[in-house]
Amino acid sequence: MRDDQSYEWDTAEKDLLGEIDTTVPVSARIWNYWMGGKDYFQVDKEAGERFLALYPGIADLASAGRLFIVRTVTYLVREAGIRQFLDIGTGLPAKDNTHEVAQRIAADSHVVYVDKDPLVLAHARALLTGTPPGTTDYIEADLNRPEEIVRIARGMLDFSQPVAVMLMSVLGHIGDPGENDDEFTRSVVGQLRDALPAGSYLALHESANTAPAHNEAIRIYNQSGAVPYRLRSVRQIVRLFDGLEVLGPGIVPIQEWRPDELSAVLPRDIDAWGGVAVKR
Amino acid sequence: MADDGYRTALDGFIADLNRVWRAVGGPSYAQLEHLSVQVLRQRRSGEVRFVALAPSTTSEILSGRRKQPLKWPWVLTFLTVLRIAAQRGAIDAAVIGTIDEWKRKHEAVLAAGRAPLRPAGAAVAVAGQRKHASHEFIGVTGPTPALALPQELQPGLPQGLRRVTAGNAQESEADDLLGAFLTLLRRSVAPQWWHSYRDIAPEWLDLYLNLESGTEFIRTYETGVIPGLLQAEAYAQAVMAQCRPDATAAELTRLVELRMQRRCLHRYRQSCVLWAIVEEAAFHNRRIDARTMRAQVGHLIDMVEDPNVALQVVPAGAGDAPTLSEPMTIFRFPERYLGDVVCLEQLDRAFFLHERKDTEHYNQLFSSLTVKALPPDVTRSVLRRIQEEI
Repeated sequence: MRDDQSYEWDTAEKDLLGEIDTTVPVSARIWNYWMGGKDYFQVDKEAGERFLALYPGIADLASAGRLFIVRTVTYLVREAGIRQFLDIGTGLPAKDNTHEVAQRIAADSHVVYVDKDPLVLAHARALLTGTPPGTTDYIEADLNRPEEIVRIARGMLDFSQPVAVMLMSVLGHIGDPGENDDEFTRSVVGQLRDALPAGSYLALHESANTAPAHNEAIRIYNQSGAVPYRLRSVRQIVRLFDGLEVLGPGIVPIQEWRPDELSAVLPRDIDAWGGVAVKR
Repeated sequence: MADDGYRTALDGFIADLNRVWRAVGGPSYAQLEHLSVQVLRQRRSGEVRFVALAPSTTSEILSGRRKQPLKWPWVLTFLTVLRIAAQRGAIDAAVIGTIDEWKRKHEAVLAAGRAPLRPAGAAVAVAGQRKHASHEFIGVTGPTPALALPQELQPGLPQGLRRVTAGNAQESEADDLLGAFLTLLRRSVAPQWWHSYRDIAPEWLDLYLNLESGTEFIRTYETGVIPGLLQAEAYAQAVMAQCRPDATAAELTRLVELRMQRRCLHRYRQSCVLWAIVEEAAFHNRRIDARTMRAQVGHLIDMVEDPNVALQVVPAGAGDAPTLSEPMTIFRFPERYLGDVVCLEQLDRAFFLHERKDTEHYNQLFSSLTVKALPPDVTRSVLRRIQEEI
């Protein structure tokens, strides 16, 4: 038995609850709360409520983000003929998950879900399952180490054929938000881009620092103990597409990206920007 | 050991435990147990840092009925679990103090037990201290502790727990808090097909089946048997015969029929997702013959091909892999305004919980199980291995 004198409460609690930390809010569960899901705990609800009080627009942003995923995946499968997806920063299952959208249009679509949160991944493994099995795979990895994701994904996807990489509101979580780490983040995207064959796609959206209330809500959120998120300027978001050919309508507020009848129910001016680009 | 000085020191220590327990809102003993058992999965080899907090032991200790010395791992587990409970209830956990303080207090109690020939003066001094403590906490310790505890904090009955047993209790439940659920859920299940089985099924099954027919997402954890919705007929017969030794052959046939009908209905309603976590021990039930078990595993191998069924097995591990003491089922409903309902089955009765603070606790337990159990794809190959080994 280890000497209990040096054994602190923090360690004791960690030992007790294992990998699920229910004392700090978790991004995936807060998004679930904002989107009206039921997979959140009290601590996430409280963080989500605090955020909403400062920036009510987050609820629309969360819903618009999901719709953006549906529209980009639909485009990539239907128009661009993509059949392989690397969805990094999966989050908890929601309505119309990447593989459901893709496989509805093309049953042979193969989706690899990547997340670093073991709880998120356990949900994905159990609930984000395609038909027949084998058309969805899962990687537990951290986007801060893209080479590891690529290495594992090579064993699951055919890297001689185009792949669409999805980075939906996940880049704000990587690097050190306390620093101006644009260079690091761009290098992460660059490593993914370089690993992909020509004809591959990047679909991305990030929350933007275009509303002071949003900036303030994020500032408070980043003190909650959750993995911090960094808002970027539109200019910084645009630069994440460096080295790729951006498709029309360009990098825009996500509701402006090829809107359909579903997106009409939400406001157009959402403080999140994104787009789709191709590697030539 | 039965020396007055020791008894006094122990009483003081127990009063302190009661004080911190009350200060963090008096979490139910069952809740403490569930938090504590998770640690056993985290145990490093050779270390005895934590133990499961069985509600009966917690009750015995906190009420002062336990005469044996308290072991440090129990104390440490109890305090750690209290801290977690405090943080969840947004209560300042500082009231619990430091591990060092408790370690010293605990050692003082042990020392008192080891020194029966202590001079009388010392014992009196401790007794004086103790008198103060016992006055302060009167009603919690003492000969009739249960009377001082609010009903919902009684051992074995988690907070907000509704107890559904037999007879009239069932009727009053339906009018009560869960009545709203029943009313809402009955919307889609006009004739309750299971009513013809009411004479043989336990009373609580009515509520259970109401929940099962209204749910869109069932998460279930089983320790010793394969969950009902995943049972093959022969296996269901064998299990039912064990559970209901009192039943006649005709009654058993109908009970199995009821279970098979549930299974059919579940498969027919394709929108309902079933996520099951089963302890490996369930596959090594020696009272089920090999042929039946092999067929059951074969049935599971077929079932997991259904995209709406996820199965994860918790491996038996090094032989001391602990389990939660009881199975649980969490029902989720499509209506946004309806929270989850948790069902805890215990032999011949069942508890239903629907308050957010209770259901959240079981959601967290299930979450940690999903991470600890083998992933569904690995489970698939484990099932094949088990089938060959049987």
